[in-house]
Amino acid sequence: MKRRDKLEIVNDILLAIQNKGGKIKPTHLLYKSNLSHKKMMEYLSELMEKNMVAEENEKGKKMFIINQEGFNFIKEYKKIKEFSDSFGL
Amino acid sequence: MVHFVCGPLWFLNADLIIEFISLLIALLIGLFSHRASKFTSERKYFYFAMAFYLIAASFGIKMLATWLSCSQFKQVVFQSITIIQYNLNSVQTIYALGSFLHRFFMLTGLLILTTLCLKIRTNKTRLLLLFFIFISTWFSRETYFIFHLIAAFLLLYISLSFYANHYRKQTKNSFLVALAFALMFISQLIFIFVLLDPTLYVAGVIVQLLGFLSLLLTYLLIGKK
Repeated sequence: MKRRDKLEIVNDILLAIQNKGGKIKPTHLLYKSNLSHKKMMEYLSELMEKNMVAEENEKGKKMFIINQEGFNFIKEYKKIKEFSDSFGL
Repeated sequence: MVHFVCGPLWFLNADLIIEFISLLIALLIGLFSHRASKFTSERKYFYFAMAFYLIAASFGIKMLATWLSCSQFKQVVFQSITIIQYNLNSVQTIYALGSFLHRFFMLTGLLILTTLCLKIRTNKTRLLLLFFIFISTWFSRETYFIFHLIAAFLLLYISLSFYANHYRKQTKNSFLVALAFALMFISQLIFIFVLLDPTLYVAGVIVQLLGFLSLLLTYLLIGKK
């Protein structure tokens, strides 16, 4: 099985949040992103720094929400993936 | 005396327009790939962008050379092929340089695409191939034939690679890319035989345009996603 690169992992994380209606619990995200807890938190802190993801409390529970920057990333990544596949890059 | 084959006289304006369209399409693909290289920080997208920038520059130089030569110098129609004669040494030198740059940029662009398709990653091999391209375009006596022959050969490799990619991916876009480069390959084969029949030049340019339009369609389909 091919190892995922960094952008692919970021895309998977953002897609997991998007597919859950833009908001996801950390446990669900851990399951969906297929990463260790430590790795997932590293990625999430980077995504929060880049304003793609934000953390919020909902009824005392921690949730991660996707921001506009995150949606933009997914859109751009999809185009570049399609470009790459079309030209076999 | 430098001679430059422009095809039939009636086709000159259409030729310029077609080359401008091809230039714009090559530029669009180059800019998209450049954006991808910034987004992903992957070198392959940067090289891909460079290849298309060089192809666009090659068209630009050819257009400029054709326009300059056709607007300022004496045209001689020989067997319905337009041959432009240069009587001034300085103009002749400038034109020869323009003609060389057009060929060199086009072949270097195609060479970069070939190295990407064949997954050649060592700079030594890339430089060696570039050296051969330079030698064959600068020192060749039969520049016209050598240029189209090398271009056809490189495009054959690129087309086969894109066909293999389409065979794996089976998508509409991969098909359009394979079709685009197959058409460009055919156009180069047609250009080789232009001196036998001048109308072949028109056919070559149109087939080449169809290739670039296929690339444009791919670009638009990717943009729609």
